[in-house]
Amino acid sequence: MTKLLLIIGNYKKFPAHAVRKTGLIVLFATISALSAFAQQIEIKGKVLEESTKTTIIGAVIKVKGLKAVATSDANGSFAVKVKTLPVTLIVSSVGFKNQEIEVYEAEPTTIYLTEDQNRLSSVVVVGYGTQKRSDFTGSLSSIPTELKGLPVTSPDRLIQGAVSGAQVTQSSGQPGAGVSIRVRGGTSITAGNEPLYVIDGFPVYNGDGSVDAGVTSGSSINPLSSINPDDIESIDVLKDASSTAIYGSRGANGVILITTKAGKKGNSTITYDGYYGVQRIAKKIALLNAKQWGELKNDALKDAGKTPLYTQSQLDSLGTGTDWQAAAFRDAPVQSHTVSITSGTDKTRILLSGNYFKQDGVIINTGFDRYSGKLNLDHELNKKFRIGVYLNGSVTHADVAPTSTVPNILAMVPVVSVRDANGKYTSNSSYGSTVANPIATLTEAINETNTTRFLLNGFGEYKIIEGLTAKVSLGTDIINNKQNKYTPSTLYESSPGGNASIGSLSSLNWLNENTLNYKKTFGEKHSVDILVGNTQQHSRTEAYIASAANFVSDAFTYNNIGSGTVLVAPSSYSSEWALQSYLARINYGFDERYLLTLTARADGSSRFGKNNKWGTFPSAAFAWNASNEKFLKSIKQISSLKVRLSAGLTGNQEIDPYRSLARLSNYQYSFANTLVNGFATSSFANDNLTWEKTAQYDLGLDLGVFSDRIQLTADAYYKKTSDLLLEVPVPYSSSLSSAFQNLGVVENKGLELGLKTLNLTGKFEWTTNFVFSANRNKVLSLGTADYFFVTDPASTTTLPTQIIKVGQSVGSFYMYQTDGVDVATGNQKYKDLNKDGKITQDADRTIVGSTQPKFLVSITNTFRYKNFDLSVFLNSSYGNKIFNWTRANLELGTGYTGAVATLLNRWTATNTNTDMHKAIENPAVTISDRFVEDGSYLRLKNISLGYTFPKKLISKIKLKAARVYISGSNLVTWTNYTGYDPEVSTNGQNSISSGMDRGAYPTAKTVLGGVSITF
Amino acid sequence: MKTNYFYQVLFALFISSSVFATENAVKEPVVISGTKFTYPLIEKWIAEYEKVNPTANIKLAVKSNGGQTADLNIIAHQPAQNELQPNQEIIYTGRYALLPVTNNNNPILAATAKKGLNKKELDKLFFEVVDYDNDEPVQKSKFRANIYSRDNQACASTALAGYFGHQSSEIRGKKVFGDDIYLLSAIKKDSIGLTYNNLGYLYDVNSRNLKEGIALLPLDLKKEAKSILSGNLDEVLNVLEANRVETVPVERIGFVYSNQNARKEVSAFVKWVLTDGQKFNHDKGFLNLDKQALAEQTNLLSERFLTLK
Repeated sequence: MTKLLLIIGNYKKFPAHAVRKTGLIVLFATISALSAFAQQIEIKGKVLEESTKTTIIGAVIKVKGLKAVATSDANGSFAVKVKTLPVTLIVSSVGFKNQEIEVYEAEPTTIYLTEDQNRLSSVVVVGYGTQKRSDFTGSLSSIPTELKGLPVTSPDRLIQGAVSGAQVTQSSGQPGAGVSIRVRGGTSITAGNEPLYVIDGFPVYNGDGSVDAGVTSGSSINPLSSINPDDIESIDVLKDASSTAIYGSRGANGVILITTKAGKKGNSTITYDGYYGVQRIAKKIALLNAKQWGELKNDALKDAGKTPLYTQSQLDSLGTGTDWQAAAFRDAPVQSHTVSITSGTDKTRILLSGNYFKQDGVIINTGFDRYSGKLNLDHELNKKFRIGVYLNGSVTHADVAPTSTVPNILAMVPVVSVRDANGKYTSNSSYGSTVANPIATLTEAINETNTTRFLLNGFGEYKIIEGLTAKVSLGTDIINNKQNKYTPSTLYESSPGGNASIGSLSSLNWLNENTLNYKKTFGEKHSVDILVGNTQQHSRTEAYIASAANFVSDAFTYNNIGSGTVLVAPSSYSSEWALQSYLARINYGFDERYLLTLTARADGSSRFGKNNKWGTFPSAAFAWNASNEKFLKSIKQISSLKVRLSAGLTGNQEIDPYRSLARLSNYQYSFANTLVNGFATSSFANDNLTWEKTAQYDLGLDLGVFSDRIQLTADAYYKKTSDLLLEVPVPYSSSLSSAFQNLGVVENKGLELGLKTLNLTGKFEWTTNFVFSANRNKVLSLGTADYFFVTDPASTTTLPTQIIKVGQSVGSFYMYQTDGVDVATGNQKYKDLNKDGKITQDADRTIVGSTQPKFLVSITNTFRYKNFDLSVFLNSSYGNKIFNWTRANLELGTGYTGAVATLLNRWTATNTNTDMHKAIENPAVTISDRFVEDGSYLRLKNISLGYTFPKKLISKIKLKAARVYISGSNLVTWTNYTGYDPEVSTNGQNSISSGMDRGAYPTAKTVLGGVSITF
Repeated sequence: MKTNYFYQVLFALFISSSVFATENAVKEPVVISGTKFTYPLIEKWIAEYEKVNPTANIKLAVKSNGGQTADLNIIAHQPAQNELQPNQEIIYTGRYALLPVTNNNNPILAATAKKGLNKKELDKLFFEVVDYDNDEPVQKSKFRANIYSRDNQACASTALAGYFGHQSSEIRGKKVFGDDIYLLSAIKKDSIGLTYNNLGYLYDVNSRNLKEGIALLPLDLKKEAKSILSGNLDEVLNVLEANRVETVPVERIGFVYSNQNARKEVSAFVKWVLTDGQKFNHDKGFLNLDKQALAEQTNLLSERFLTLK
């Protein structure tokens, strides 16, 4: 029998015609081969996937203790020769559980591998491929499964508190608004600091501006809100230089790999995921009521020597007045409905999903909605050729609260009512400072942004020979943003006849990537995985804005701009960039004990000076899988132990295109009493302009003990970024005030810990996921300067609050220090730091804290009992400071606007022992540490209770799975911060002016109920 | 078609080693194939049958051959929905029991000596449910053990998994290819090795005692079943035939035959197994069918074969 098999086996190795022509020779050859094989036993078999019975290609079959090794071919077949039986085969394939098999008889065998339950934890997505987690040498964190299902607007929000080393700040509570993410601290001062997102292989920089035509006032909408979080399969955050260097000039700020769900082999399923909930403002700011405000007004007037506004009887009749917060805030519904269909055969896998998401804002007439669709298709044309396509399309709409909304809600004086006696909106509150009625604005003005986004990436993959694969992909990211704004003539802030603006931004980004990948195991112990590739990416953005005012009627709103009699100069621009790259990576593993990764990417970017178009970004990493050493294998308590070391250079190219070129800008000037247009230099050329370069070193440890019941990942890193791109002052004789140059150095160093423990097993299961990150940021050099002040991104004027200074962290607050309230006068006192008897800007301001947190901690506890699951997710930030500009305005005590309730304790002749100054008609905020507040918080970010119906029960009604849950987000926040929410940054993603609360849209707490049903 | 026939003939040559002559001259042998751990019993049946029917020619295939060329295929698990061809039938002819067994140095023996394992604990010990929908929490046993089992398609694996409400792919641990007997070889080498096996392999059928180097895993048994852990093969068989024991899977064995090309020689043999052959079941460590089941199977056989031409 064995002989027969061998004859057939050999026959197959020869082409049929060869057998016909040389049959005799083959016969002889076979016979001689038979004698050679006589002492060998051939174990033949097939490797199949257990659930679908489909072949597994490339499974590695090793013979324990021997050198023999085989790989399953395109049919899943393998053959391995041994001298004696029994032997132990170890069969492994990425994504499947290893299977150990003791073979006692050499009969043809079929080996079934089952998918690894912890597939996500055993396989990680890395740049341009996947790798076994145990083979990975760099530093990477993946979002744990229990936090993947949180109800959020966009996938990037899932990262908050879920992984170490990433600081995620929601800049505003506006539905759909963006988040700002810093992976291992901010490396840059003026250039972008957001990580690179790679969505199904397509690199995207998630700048706030990429879906913003520039018309809508208020928080920017998150470009990633076009993606339905339900579609996400995994999110992996690459942190160290070794893992991000494959993205070269875009790797310095970390890389976030988002992989969407794909179709699966097997039966078709239809899944509905939906939830409906209600959001409510987490907290209201305590303000003076009408009577209290009247008293303040009177005090301020008296202090200025003026006649009080109200008599005592008038004061008594004011009552509580209007609660403007109650008028503006509401309980707002949020809902999401996703239907996804997956199906798959041996050759084709498909996933199709559609989502409708609608979130009303807690501020009236604001909200965000999204319609999105997704198609992931993967097809094997034959055993060698595979094609696939990822397609995501979405249409989003947001009604945005204009920037002034929250400041105006708080500044409206309580004696003013929302509507007048005729039922019309009151125009404004005017008691010294005029504040437009925010309820009228919210109700009657249009301030919206609409985005259509289409992300498509298709690939073809061809297996040239066993182990060698060529892949070509072509993708495009098409964004179309249209923004509309109309301020009707009825509103206070409108020009006569109303104002209309429309703006449009369209961008087309295309990408081509060509890679060759070779994977092979030599002998038993040497494994290599080599990747080389070439990519090109190009982006073109065009935008325009058209505005007009003074319309005959408000009826047309923004739809008939030509009918406005006051035309505002239109504007337009276009901008283009391109990137060409060559990349290479070699992974070498010896005996699964020593692992080496070498990576390099050469990027040529259009954004840089002609002398520095190309940059090379190399990295190296070494890892030691100590637990695979014989001397540690005997220690049963240690299930895995890996030490990692990496170093490398990555870059940052996130500056506006054309910054290296001498540019002309148009300016208007008066010539013969006529306004004419002319052009003048607006920037100097800098042929040497180059990347910001970040050298990063990482030392990491992965430890698993007691069968991985306790898993610890610890990393220490040091990042030094040099060649920072800065506007350097130049003499005015040059015709400009500054030039853009590569100067300056910033360092970030830190420690990260991730601890996952399985505390209880059995009927009652309890797991804990603990994440800790600490980062220290410091400016080491600013070229010739020692410091500079920060420019407000909105007004382009210098911010009086922050400074960039050598030796300090980016985001340092620089201002006066208060020294209590003068008992005699009731005035706020400031410290005279240089003791010259005067309080001066130059001499008496100092650094009073930083927006950088000392550390971030989050902890998730998941409990399971029978079919119930409960997850409690706590998130915290410690040590960061916030400048509460909202309170600074409300605490002026002028009586011009609404005021905070703490002014009740203001200094008066009878209340001198207080830290609150007197009522005073001084409408200018003195920037001082009085308004720098501790932004530390501990938040119950999410609590979810779910029940999964037993399969036996639901199969009776033809369901495959069903789960119901209730979930609460942001239910409790413990903080000393007095504003709406400590997680705030009015200036969005801007690093140097972060940590500012200037009337940010308040965060809501949410309670919702959801259901997931699979048919 | 011609090629197929050629291979069939060639195969028959290899498995039978009998002289191939014209169809009329010498009877084509009845070929039986299937689950190997039943072979000792089948061989015994054939030998005893041929004693009383000297002209009978029944051969047991050396290797499992997928059931394509055999007249009778032995099955020792509940067939899955589409496992049988529409024209195939099963006649059950016996039963076997599976007992958990371990290396006789395994610390689990001491740990469970006082109170043996119940069905739930056995479930936790042997199985790991892979469920991506998180339907039920993963439950792990408190005992450390290396589980050995046959490949997922093997009859005993399927029967064991089916008894505990699982798929055979959910059995933990290492696989052993060849025959169920090698499961015992595997645990003898591994001090925390744990497996299951049928009584015919667990006990020496001559001495009727448990084989050396192995020990039965203590089970939580009722009074009347206690002797399963201590008795000899005959005592164990008697207890299992008299009681339904929750912790011990008992599965039927049977012959799968195709009613399209069934031959009289085949039905005669099966009928003999259902009657006279039953007395040899205990000899090889197998349980008898109870009287009612035996009568049902006999009726089934005669009904089906009466309809044959």
